[in-house]
Amino acid sequence: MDELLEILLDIDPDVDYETAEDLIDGKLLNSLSILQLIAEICDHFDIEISPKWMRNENFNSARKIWEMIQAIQEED
Amino acid sequence: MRNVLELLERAAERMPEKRAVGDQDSSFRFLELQQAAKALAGGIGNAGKNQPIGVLADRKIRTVARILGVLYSGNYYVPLDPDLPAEKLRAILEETDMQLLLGPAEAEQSARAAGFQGVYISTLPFGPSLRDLPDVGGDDPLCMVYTSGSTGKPKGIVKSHGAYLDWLEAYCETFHLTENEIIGNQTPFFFDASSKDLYLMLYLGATLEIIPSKNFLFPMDLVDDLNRRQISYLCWVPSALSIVAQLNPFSLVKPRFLRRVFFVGEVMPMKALNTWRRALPELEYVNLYGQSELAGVCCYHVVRGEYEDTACLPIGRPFSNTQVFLLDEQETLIREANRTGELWIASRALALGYFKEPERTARCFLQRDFGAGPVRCFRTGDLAHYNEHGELVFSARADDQIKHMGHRIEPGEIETAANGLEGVVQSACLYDEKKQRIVLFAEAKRSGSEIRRALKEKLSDYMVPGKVILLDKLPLSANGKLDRQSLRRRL
Repeated sequence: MDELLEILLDIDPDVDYETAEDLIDGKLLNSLSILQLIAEICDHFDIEISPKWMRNENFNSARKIWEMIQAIQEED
Repeated sequence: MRNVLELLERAAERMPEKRAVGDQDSSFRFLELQQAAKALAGGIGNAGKNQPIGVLADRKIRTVARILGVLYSGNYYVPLDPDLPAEKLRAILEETDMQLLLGPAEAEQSARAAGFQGVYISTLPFGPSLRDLPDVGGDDPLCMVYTSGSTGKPKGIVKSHGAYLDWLEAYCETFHLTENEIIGNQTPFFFDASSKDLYLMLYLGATLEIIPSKNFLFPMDLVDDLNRRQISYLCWVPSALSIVAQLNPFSLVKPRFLRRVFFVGEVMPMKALNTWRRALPELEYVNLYGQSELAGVCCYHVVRGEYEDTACLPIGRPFSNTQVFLLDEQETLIREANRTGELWIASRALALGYFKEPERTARCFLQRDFGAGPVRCFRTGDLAHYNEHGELVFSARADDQIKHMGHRIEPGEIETAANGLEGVVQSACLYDEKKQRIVLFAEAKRSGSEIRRALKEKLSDYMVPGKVILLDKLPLSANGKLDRQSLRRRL
């Protein structure tokens, strides 16, 4: 989780990722940053995020993103 | 035809009940759109003629009505981002002296906070047509779009009705587009690129579907939406197509009604295009090239054959309404392959010029004769060459201008904003192509996070640096100038 927070903070250090639950709906992550986030996650955790994971609810908080990463790793 | 309103008049008469424009929640038929725009024009009243009127443009059908309402009033519109930082909006309001803004009710407060003291119209009145067509001709201004300026001050580019009509004719003739097209709009209405979708809808009598921006983050939702609305034509920035390609949903869902995928605004990454073409080989893919200083686009390349992932896609050849000249530094025409020069454009679709900047207009829009009589040209600042097939290929910018997610950005505008912050001694802005983000190097007595936060108050979202790197001293080259090459190595 710390590694994910580091990636998120690198994208936008002004967001409180520990508490934010509306990264997408609150426009805290926009289209400019989401691609960067996905690339960094794939690169860092050596995973591929298949389209089925690309749902709003998987990206609305750091916790949700982390749960998604773990689920993908388990699938692999 | 004298103005673009005649296009709406024609469509409303021919097919009053046809869906003209739709968003996530609602839609206008052509007759409804015409009536809404005319009623709004009545509400605008006597604002004069050929005056700039601001439209705070959200992704709703009401924005389209507001734009056309301004035109029916005999004036021209200035599309603005409702989330524009107060300082930037204030600068635009002061420069234009606009006394009238149209926009959603929720955006009024921020306009007032930026110092706007004029009339703000947020409601869409409905009623009988209040006005006849205004006396507006081809040379009258249609819109003014703001783009990034190297001195820190955004530039207003004024374009005419005639320029758009001229481009539309050449464009539709080239691609044989018909009223059956359903256009999937991606770029917000406050960006220049969206005007292509809007006027194409009017010219063809086609349908314009505004896609919610959130869908571009989630391609499964996006493709579902394209299918639900039966979208057949896209003209998007390559970044949007790349996101879809990178998250590749095509093994699970495919856009069933899509026929044409056009792209414009920046270089299309070939790897992303190949992903699209492999998944959807039957579609027509077209690379378009243009500048904000003209209506629509001026060059096109229909993608055929195979391209390696590392290949560079040509920008092709000019439309029938345009001449493109490739010139060396002595302004001599380059005709041979593989020799780089600067692109100059001559077209009836060129902009009228820069708002209140006659000197800049004279510097960038020039009268030249390259052998077939004098023509009015725009000097693009883009470097290009011809390939072996006689097609133009974009090489690079002649200056430091950045293309980020389809937006044209002058690093100077970001540097000026950063240098103006308390505690910042000096800064330099570079673009990290690999990570596709803007990086600001700064000599400062503030943290990078503080600098980013302060810049959000001054710059549009897409211009705020993705990363700020603090240095004790910015490196200088032997002649005492900022050493950008040295900074580039630190990216």
